[in-house]
Amino acid sequence: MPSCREIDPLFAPYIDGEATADQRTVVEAHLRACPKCRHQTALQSAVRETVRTKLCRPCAPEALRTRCQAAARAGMGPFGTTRSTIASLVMAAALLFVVGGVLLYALTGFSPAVLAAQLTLDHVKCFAVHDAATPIDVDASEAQYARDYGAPVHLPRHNIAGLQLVGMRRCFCGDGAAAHAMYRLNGAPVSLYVISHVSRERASTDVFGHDAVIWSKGDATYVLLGRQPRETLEALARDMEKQL
Amino acid sequence: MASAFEIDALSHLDSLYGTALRLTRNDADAHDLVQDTYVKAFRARRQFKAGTNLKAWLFTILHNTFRNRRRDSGRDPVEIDSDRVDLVAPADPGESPEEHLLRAAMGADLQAALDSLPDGFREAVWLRDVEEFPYAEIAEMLGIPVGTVMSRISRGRRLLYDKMVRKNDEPAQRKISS
Repeated sequence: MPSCREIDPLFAPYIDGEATADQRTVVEAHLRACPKCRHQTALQSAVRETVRTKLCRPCAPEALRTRCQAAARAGMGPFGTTRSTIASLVMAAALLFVVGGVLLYALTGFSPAVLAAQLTLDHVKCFAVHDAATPIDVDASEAQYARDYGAPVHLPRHNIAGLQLVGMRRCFCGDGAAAHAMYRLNGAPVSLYVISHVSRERASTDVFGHDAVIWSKGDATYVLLGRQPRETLEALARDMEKQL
Repeated sequence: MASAFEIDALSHLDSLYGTALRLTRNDADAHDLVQDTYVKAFRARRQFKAGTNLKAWLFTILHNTFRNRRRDSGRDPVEIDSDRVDLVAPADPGESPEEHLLRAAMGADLQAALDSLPDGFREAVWLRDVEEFPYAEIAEMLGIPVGTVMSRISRGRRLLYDKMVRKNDEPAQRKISS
């Protein structure tokens, strides 16, 4: 007959109904002869039944259900990012601003991935800090931006249902050379950066869980980014490019 | 209109939330963990093989997300020193384990006792005894051998019993000694 130490690992599967027929036979023969192991199995069985009957899984609060439903509809979270992720990205953004001297070059000379990384951090920071949610008028926003910063920016019009402009800011990346148009697509954040006097090759990339589409037209470069699927952003970018 | 995947995935929200609560032991962290899990699941939904166990797939994402967060914060969720988990005290000959535990459960907070277990034991006991996952699925979710799952469940239950019974007995012992 196996010793108590040898048979001990079989007690849990025996109690949980996961032991094979042969294992059950061995365990039952041992238990008939060993009061100490009978106590151990009775103990485990009692704990199992107590946990099963006294601990119930709680119902998720309605607020969490709403957040998760929004995550499903957008293929991402309502903001797509939880507090801890925001904190780490904002910290990364802060570090990048410390070395701001390289950022203008990053907008023009670095790879698409580096450019997308810089702007993704700004996108996350801006939506975290400003929580823009109210639709604003495109014409009025362009006029306000030109008055505030003395640099006219033309935003593409579009025919995408569910896409709304919710903010217009000057981006600190590139020493203020980029305009940041904040949108929500069915509630989820999307950003369009307009970088004047810069031309780059067309590219798509992904970084920090975001996808970015980069294209140039006239003397400006446009970067569209968000956590939507790549194909959604590509379709949005094509539509915007046509309207420029 | 909600997709079948969305409806199926969200039907496991209560289970994911309950497990996240037991893992994090903090309501706000549990909210974040569940939301992160769904964000990742919906973004990776094409990787889910239709016809396989969606609940187990979601729990795998939940566990990995929790583990990565703990790792980022410098703590390992499955760090367990099994040798320190002693077997329970010898039985009181006049009382069965069921009676002893029932008496203990009346006076102690079972949930608090479970929450005080090391992460690996707490998670294994919860997944088996509340969520009723088979050993093989728990092993796959946690990325550990089935033998380790059995060991964690077994030791977790004994440790829980020990905590419940000892906690319940402490006031009586203090009364006697004073």
